[in-house]
Amino acid sequence: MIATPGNQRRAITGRWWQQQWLKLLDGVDDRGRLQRGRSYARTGRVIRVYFYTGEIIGQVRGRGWWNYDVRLSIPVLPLDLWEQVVADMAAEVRYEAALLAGELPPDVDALVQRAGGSLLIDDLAALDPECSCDDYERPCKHIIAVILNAGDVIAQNPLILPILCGAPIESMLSTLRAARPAPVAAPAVVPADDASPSDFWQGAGPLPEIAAPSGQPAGVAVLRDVGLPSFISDRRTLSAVLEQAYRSMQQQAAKALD
Amino acid sequence: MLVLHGAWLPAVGGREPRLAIWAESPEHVAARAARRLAPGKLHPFAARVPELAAALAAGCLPAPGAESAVLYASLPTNEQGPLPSPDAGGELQPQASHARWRIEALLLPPHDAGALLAALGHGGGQPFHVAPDLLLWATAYRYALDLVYRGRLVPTITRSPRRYEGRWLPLLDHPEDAERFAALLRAMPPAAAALTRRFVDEPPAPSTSLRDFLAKIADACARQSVQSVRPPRRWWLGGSAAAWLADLGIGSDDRHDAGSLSPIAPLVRQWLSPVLGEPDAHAAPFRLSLRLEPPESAAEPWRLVYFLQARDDPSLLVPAAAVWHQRSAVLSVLTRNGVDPASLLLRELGRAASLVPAIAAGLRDALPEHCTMTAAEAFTFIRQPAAALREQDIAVTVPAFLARLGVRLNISRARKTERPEGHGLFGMDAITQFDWQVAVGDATLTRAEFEALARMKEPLVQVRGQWVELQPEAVEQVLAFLKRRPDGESTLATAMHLALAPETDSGPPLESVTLDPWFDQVLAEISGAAREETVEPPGFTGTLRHYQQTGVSWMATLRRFGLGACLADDMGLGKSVEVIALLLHTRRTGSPHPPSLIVCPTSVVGNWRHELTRFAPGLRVLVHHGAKRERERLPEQAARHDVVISAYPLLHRDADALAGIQWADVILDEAQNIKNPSTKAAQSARRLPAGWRAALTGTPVENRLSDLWSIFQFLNPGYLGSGEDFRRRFTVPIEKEQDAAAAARLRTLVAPFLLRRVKTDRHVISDLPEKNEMKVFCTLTKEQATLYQAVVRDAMKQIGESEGFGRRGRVLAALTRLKQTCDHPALMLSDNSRLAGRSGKLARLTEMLEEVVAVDDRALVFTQFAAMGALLQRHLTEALSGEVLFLHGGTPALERDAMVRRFQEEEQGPRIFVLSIKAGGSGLNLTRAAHVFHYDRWWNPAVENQATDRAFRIGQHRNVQVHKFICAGTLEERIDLLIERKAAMAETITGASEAWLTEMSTEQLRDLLGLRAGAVEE
Repeated sequence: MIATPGNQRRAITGRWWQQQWLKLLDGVDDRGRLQRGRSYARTGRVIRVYFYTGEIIGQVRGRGWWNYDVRLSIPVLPLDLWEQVVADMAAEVRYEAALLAGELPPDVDALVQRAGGSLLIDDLAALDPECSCDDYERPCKHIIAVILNAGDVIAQNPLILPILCGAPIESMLSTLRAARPAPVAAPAVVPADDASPSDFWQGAGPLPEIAAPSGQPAGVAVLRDVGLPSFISDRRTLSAVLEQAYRSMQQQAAKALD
Repeated sequence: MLVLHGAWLPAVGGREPRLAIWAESPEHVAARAARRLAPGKLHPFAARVPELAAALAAGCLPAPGAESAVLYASLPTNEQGPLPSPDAGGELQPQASHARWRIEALLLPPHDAGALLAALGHGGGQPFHVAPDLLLWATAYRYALDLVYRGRLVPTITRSPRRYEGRWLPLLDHPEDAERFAALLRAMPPAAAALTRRFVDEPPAPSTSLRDFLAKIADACARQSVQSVRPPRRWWLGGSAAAWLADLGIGSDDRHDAGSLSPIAPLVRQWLSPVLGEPDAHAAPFRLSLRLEPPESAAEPWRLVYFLQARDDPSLLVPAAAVWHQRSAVLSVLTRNGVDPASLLLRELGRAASLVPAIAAGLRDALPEHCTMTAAEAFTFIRQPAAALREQDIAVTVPAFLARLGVRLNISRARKTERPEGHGLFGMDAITQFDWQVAVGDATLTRAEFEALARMKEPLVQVRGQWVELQPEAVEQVLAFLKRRPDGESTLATAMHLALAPETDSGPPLESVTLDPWFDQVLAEISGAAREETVEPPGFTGTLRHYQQTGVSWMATLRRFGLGACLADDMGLGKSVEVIALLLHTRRTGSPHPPSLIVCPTSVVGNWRHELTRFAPGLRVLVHHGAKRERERLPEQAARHDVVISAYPLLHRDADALAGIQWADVILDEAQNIKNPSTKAAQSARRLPAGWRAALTGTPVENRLSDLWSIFQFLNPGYLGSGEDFRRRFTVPIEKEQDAAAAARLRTLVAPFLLRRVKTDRHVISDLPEKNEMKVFCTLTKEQATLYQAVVRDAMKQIGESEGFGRRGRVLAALTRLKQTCDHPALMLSDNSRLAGRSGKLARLTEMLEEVVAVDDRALVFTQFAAMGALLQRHLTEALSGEVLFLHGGTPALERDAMVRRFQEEEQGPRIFVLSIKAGGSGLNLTRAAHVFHYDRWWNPAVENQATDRAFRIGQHRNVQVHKFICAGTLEERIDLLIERKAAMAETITGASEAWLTEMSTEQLRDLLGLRAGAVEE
């Protein structure tokens, strides 16, 4: 399975790539089937989606007891193509910056195209979609659901896309790092940090005052920001239990603080 | 004495987190010199575990779960070995080199650590000294509890190397918590994170250590408190969820297989992601910080400068140059954690570049320290991406461009208007010069400069060398305002209004009002800052008390500027005396002077004339009142007098005659008579041509907004705005919405023109005698006068015909009937007829009691006729719409006590107590009354005084005002004079009777009883 660098924050450029990716479904003209696929994706019937270089494997819960397996084949671009892409990227440090940030600037595709490939896959047939269900129609709702689900993942982390297409991201990053340009101009004097060295036995500032509690405690206010967890069925009971728990700990803390 | 230290050992490599307590033993410091030491060896003067445990036990510090351990301390060291801390007799060591020493310590699990730290602060005289590093943990412990108390923690699932665990995790995401955390971190001595379990370990970073401590302590505290929470039996959560709650300590005695948490761990993480953020966010101790810098001149581009900023200490900014050149010692913490600072900066710039094209454009063939922007781009940057960047955990600093726009006003004296000579008044309609300016931030622009700036239609402009952002709406608002208010001349009323309560209706904020020195002087003088306090009017035959001096000079000052004054002193403080003194003061030069007009209620006309004669015998007084008044000849007559007294009913009836005279002053006594602005009297009053206007009132007008407006409309027309304006700006907000700010604004506006002193003012009290006696001169109604003359005629005839004992009896009978007539015709006739409008005394008493009730005072009214008391009770109950008590000789003792108790003690009890002088004259204690009225006179001062003393007894702390009612021109006035003369000759009148009067000759009696001119009101 693919592991990507960068952080887990939602990428800013992901939306753009997701939109490109979803063009795969432009050719599906059965609106009812699209609708069903969408509803599958939204209601969590896509149990898991695995991304491997060259393929996407999905598992979808069907209407009965069976789970169906979906497979999409992604055309893998040759390594020498990626070498050329990386050579082009090295001209501007912003590409390394973006990759490190888990971002994929839209103009990367121009570089890939110059090297003779593309990251924009819009022909579903080229992916040779397979599903273990016995629906007559292709792509079935399961395939559609997996494509939609993969789109969400791409929105979150667009680097998945070049990796699916065989990009050796880690080695590309080390190439870029080695090719990193020099700083603008070496300043005569780089300002030193002005952090005052604190004494070993003594802090650099006064101890803050933690006042005795006053007013009403906040209760489960924090949980109100996130709502109750959707993965627990008896939410009412859970809510009552948590509320009790917060009240109890706030009372204890107030007592201890006073 | 041991010096106790503490350090937190975060959970590492499967070891549980612990608070390590160790100690230096200063007694052993001396011993270290003897041996040669090498790092890694046993610390030479650290306490051993038994010694440590004994000290803790002796200091009552609970450490039940403590286990002993051998740890390594990274301590300041010289060639002799580890250096003692200041508490152990060493010195501060900012620069020393460090080495590892083996120490023995007690390890406490989180819950026990909490108990120990909580106990640390309590009780003195402990057999050890607590070092700052341990104190830090005690404070951090309180902070962890504070987080729990504020509910700033969430149930999570964390992954320890071996398994998933349910944990309560505190949140530090609030800005206030971030600050607290940073403050704790600053206060943290490195010693608090100097211990490791193994020789080869690096001590934890202080922030890691502190964050872990807060998490584990808060978790322990929460876990402990939720054990009592019992989940209901019948609930169905599914195995994992139930295991999770059990693992969080909720009802935790039924243990679940906690190994089953793994299925829900990612779900819980996802659920909490809005509050926890991404796990990665807290991993890097630095984040990107962007600072927008304006150019020196408009021709150059703007710069967006890059820094790495320490999360723990936002003031620590590492410039990009230092990062690229690897020159920052601060960043070594990153390198130590295997992060390349340059890659971190590049990565963060990569994220920012997706939002800010200028950053992407700057990331080309060099590692940049900043990027450049045009002014328009900079403006867009401030508006849009800055917020999105902050959401992405990238700090953005933008100079404070947003300039507050406001207007400034300069008020000066109009150049061309000349101050009229003579009695030198310019009044509220005098002209002042207004010049408006615009305040842009700190800079002040002229109207033209601002208009030029606005025409540029640039969002960011340079004003006096500073870049400022102009909001189009605010610019429009100011332009519109300036259009409405051209520079130029305005009335003093408007100027005073703006100077005292600066505000512009729904316009731009009025930043300042500058007054030229002339105007400043006006304000200073009327506010009393520059006022002559002593006034000695020539020809004044009395003494002014100090507060009365103040009142006179206050009025004189306002008069000098032609500004109307409202004197609203409490009843009894001598408002009329102050006015008389003022009239004399203004005529002190002796030059020809137009007459002054005093308008008062009919019932006080006599009193005014009396007071004027008494205090200013030199003034020529004309009473324009009564049937015989000469309306047509008024202008001619007025010119030959100094003061004209008239009554409210005539304001309307003789409106034209009164308005045809140019008065020096128009003074309205009991000005609440014009409180309704639409009455004829109020309208006529406003029409009177006057050099100066004053209003006297004893009721607190400032609390009755509509009265206030009407009186001010007379005094200073237009000053409080139109009636509608006033209602909208003050009456509605203050009365309906209880708007304190509006009330304060009104007070400020009114204050210069309103002087109100109350009896209880400290400086008034010190001035007043404890018992302040005043005579109230009343007039007779026509009915009273006719009756009076009939009684006199009849009585004189009978007295002339009798002698001896019979004569004496007749004299007394005549006196009684005359007194009754002065009191009220109904009393003399015993006809039980209507009461209102038939007695001058009753009218005056009613007016004065209205004032008493208005200021929530209490009063006693004495009469010598029980029947009069009954009439008074009947009339006053109705006129004052409140209960009036009446005590007379026939009142049963029980009832009498109840009355006294109610008057003295009841919060909302009766305000007025009528007493017959014989029944109430002695033995009662009625100290709650502030006013005593003698409705009629007992011609023996001893009796009167005794009655007065009901209200004035030992223990009474406030002053008592005593009002003695006298019908002018009748026997009452003349007997009063007689008594005064006797008193002056130190003659005593003994006994409680009035018998001494019966000894007079018939001629004397005729003179005594006869009705004099001016006694009758109409």
